[in-house]
Amino acid sequence: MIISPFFSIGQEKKEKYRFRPNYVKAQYAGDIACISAGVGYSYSENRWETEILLGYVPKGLRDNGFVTFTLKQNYIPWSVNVVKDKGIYFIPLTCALAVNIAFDPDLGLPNLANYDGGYGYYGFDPSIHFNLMLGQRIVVKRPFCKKGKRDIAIYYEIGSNELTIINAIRNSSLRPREYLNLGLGLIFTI
Amino acid sequence: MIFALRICMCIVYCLKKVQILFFVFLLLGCEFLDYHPYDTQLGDDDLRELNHKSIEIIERKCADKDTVRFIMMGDSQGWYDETEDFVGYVNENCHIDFVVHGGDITDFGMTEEFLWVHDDMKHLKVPYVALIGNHDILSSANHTYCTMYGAEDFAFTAGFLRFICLNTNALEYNDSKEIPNFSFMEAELKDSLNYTNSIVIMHAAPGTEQFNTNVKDVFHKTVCAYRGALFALNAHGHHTSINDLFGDDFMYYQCASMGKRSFLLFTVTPEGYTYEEILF
Repeated sequence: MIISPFFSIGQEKKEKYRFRPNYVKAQYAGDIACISAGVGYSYSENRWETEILLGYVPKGLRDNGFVTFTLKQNYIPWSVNVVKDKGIYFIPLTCALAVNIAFDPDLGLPNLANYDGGYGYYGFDPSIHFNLMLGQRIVVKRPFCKKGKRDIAIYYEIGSNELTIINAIRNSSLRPREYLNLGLGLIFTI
Repeated sequence: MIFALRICMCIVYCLKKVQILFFVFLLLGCEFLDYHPYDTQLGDDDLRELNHKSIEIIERKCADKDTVRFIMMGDSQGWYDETEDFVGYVNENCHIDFVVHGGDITDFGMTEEFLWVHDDMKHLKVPYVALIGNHDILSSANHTYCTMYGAEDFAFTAGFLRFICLNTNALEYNDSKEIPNFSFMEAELKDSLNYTNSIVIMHAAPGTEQFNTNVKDVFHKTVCAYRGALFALNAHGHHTSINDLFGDDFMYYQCASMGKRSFLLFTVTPEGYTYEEILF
């Protein structure tokens, strides 16, 4: 077991560029948007990552397309060196917790003053969601890159949002494929 | 341009490196790639206009019947295990013509909840129609309802009976829409179809917080004015009750939620009707 060398370049440059992100990433699906892209910071020996993503759900999937904002916290317990000296690593487990906000006026609740107890009537805000995800990554040395050591990672995450998890707990007849969803993505160190 | 080309080359390189893993999850992922809890992708054209498809079957099968038997159930919201049990029980024990879902199909208005309920209800041996409930309007989920089931106000004929199904969840629309839809109700009053009795079905009954209190008397008068109006049906209350809401012996029958594992079975003939509450 080793500590991941992933994003080591970002660590070295931390002194010089204090607020410069360590990586950029793009994700497809995953219950936070159709396509999401953003930047992230890694720290604590690259075990922890904090990232912000902007996503888009295009018109057609709803009446109007809308933008989403996601704040995501990742935890990487360990990684495995797959091919020695070739810079290929396997991260067997990533754990993530995310807050997802949708900027779509249609996603709000109606005038809450109409209800006794306001939010208490429905007990949630449909524009804000919390997602729990588990995933895996493969990290390789970025090819065709002249600026020294850079990594690229391909990953998937499987998870669900809080409302779906509530339904899954309440209903044993729901199958995992009905309440879990998949996200696929790429990460580039910068 | 060069950067974009490099990115493309990187992607191809990575796909080569991890192709087995990638394709395994690509295949798996086809089943559960969700974009957002409130995206309205149904994924299947067969899931559109479900009420219209059911009504075609009901009108054809009941055309010459002088006894119509149907079930009124509702509020499956969050009780998907119970809804599955309901379908199993009805298929085994009830000889009926069709089922009416009185609304609140979903709990949070999420598209996947609509799909879960239909996954259960489609196994009924008889067709079902579904009304819209207040929970099915959350976050504009009424668009999902309309795509999947059709119009919010609709009517159909089963033999000698006319069923008029109405959206009465006025509170959810901030007074931006005509709820109840009197234009639709009056058009139904004027039709010249061949039936002798009417039954009005809604999610929220007059007097509930969802209903537009200002128009409840006018609404009731219109309901009673339908040809041979027998009674009205509603859900929303989560328990079974029989109410003479306006003190004129015109009854509003309320079915319980699926969580109570209960539904109402009506048998209607030209001479009258009977009902029973069935627990499963």
